[in-house]
Amino acid sequence: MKQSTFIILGALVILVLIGAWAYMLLSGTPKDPGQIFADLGFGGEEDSGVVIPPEPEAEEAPVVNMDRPRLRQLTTRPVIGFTEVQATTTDPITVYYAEAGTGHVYAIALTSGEETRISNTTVEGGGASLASFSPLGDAVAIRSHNDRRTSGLTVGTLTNGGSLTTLPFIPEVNDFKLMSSSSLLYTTRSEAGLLATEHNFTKNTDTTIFTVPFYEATILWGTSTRATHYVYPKPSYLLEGYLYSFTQGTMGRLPISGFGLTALPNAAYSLYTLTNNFVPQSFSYSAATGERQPLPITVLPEKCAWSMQRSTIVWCGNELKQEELGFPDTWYRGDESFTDSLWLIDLERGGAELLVDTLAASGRELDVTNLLVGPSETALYFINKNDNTLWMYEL
Amino acid sequence: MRYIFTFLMLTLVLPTGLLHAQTNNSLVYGQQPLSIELEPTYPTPGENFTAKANDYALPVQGNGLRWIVDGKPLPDVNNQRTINLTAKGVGETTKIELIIDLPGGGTSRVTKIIEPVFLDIIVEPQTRTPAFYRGRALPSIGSAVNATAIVNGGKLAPNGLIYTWRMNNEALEGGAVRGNNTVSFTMPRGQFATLSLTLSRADGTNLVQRLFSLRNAEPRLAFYEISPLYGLTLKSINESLPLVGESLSVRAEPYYLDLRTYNNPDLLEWKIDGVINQNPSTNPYEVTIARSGVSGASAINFHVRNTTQVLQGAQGGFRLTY
Repeated sequence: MKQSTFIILGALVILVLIGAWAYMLLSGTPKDPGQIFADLGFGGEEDSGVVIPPEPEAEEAPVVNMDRPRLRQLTTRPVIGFTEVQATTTDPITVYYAEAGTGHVYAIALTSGEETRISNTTVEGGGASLASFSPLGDAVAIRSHNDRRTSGLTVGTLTNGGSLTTLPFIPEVNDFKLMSSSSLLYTTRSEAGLLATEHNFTKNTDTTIFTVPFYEATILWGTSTRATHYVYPKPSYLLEGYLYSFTQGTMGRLPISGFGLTALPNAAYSLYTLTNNFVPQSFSYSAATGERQPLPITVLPEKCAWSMQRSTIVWCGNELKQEELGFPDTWYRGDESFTDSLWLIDLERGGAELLVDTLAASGRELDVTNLLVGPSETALYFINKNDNTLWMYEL
Repeated sequence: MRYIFTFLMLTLVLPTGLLHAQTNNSLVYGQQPLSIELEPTYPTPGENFTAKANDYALPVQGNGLRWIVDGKPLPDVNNQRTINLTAKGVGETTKIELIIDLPGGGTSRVTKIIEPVFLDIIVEPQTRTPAFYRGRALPSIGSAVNATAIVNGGKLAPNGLIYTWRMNNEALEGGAVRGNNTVSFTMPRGQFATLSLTLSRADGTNLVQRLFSLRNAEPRLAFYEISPLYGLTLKSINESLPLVGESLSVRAEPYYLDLRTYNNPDLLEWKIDGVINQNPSTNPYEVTIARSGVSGASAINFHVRNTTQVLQGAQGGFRLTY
């Protein structure tokens, strides 16, 4: 190629470049994507190129969850006794409880959940182990004991600042129940057996109401001094037990007996469990007809509570599992524990209905004891034997 | 002469024997009377029981068999050897008559009166259980045991009855004693012991008898943590226990240990990692253990024993981790 041809081609390139520079200089900023010089129009997703500022998210109004679970823990403190009190059906429900060790008494207003301490009197020795409240919640009796069997009883009213006093006149108490702020039922050992006595605080008198002709007895106190009280020897799977009644001092024998007997009677029925050949089984016995029926599930009567409105309804804590050899002794010793669910047993219809699987509902292993249904029958209350905390389940 | 003597003896003895059988409502042939056997032998009030005719000793085959209960014939169960009945309530009696028609037109009959009673025997071993324990103490070899008999829920006063207690077929309290409804004994060696009570009326006739086995339990240890604020934890320690704070207190409970040994043991010691602990606690069954390092584990052992009666003792332990 000639030298002149090279020079002409070089000049043409320089002219094109100058022209392009002049064009960009004069045409300014592109107004739309079509004017972009580098847009070669190969297609693809179109980008508008518009920067859209994000819209501020609408602020959510804070939500307070007022739905309380039906099964809930009422205390973190260990509890030795409790009661539900509702003055009238329209009044709010209050739960009173006594704390283990100290014997301090607290009240929980169930509507608000507010807890107040209504007695800060620490029982003598600080070994409070069992408490009984009067039905109106205006008095409490607390038993404390040291490492041996000797025990004292602290009784007091909860209305005037909650100052409790220890009653020195009551000797070693085996069992007791506060019937009202003026009446206490308790048992003590005597030569003739276990003596059940009523102490009247107003008159300062003691009246014997019945005598159990043995000592190792479980007492199921009636609803009043003159009501029927039930007694059976403390249970063991290796020893026979028998169910007795005491009505106004007269002893009677119910046709219920067997190894490992534990029972929970009401006026119409007796719920009881026996260990036949080391296998526990539960029954109901009708006082009117004498008929006995096996229950659909095996329960421990200590984990049950009768309805006060319908005599055929009983609620129980129960785990469907094969009990260990030696039951119920193993449970009493604390060697065996349960993850109970709450059940409703209807003796009239003959079925058992699962109310709540407590493990699924709470995530906790709850070993039900001291089951109680309050006068309102709107909730079940119980102590978790694993840590002695108080729980409730709304019916 | 020999024949005359035999004839005279037969004429004198045979009618007397037959008359005796008739007046007692039992036909006696040899030494076996016609009888009614009950199962159970002593029914309790309201209990179902069976009455069985025992006529195997009759030298002749009966033609028919009839039952009469409380004066009412039961034609539905004619010729049945066993009938089912229900005992009445406390204080009520049932009269059962059994009539066997003999060949040749005669009858033989026997009567039994059923007076059902509740005979309850409450066994109260004098062995250790803690105050919170809801169950009953169990007997162990060499332990003292009290037993109380309650008849018909206390409706039958003990003073009108004669009590014969036996332990392993040996009479207690020297034999039959009137009004002796309580007895104390020591549990013999062996897995089981047999306690029996025969209750008789003042005229010597048996009212009821009961017999049952008592199983010896082995004294066993359980350990419980003591919270300084809340008291005893009711769940027993299962093999190991974590030490959360600087120290903790533990109680050993020797279940079913005879109370005499519990209150006055010949040997009682706590060992921590094999070293005997000089326990300063006022209660020798409680010990307070302090942390002895940043982390680790200690073996806690407890031993209580009667060195004279070596089976009256218990030994056990758990691991304390920290």
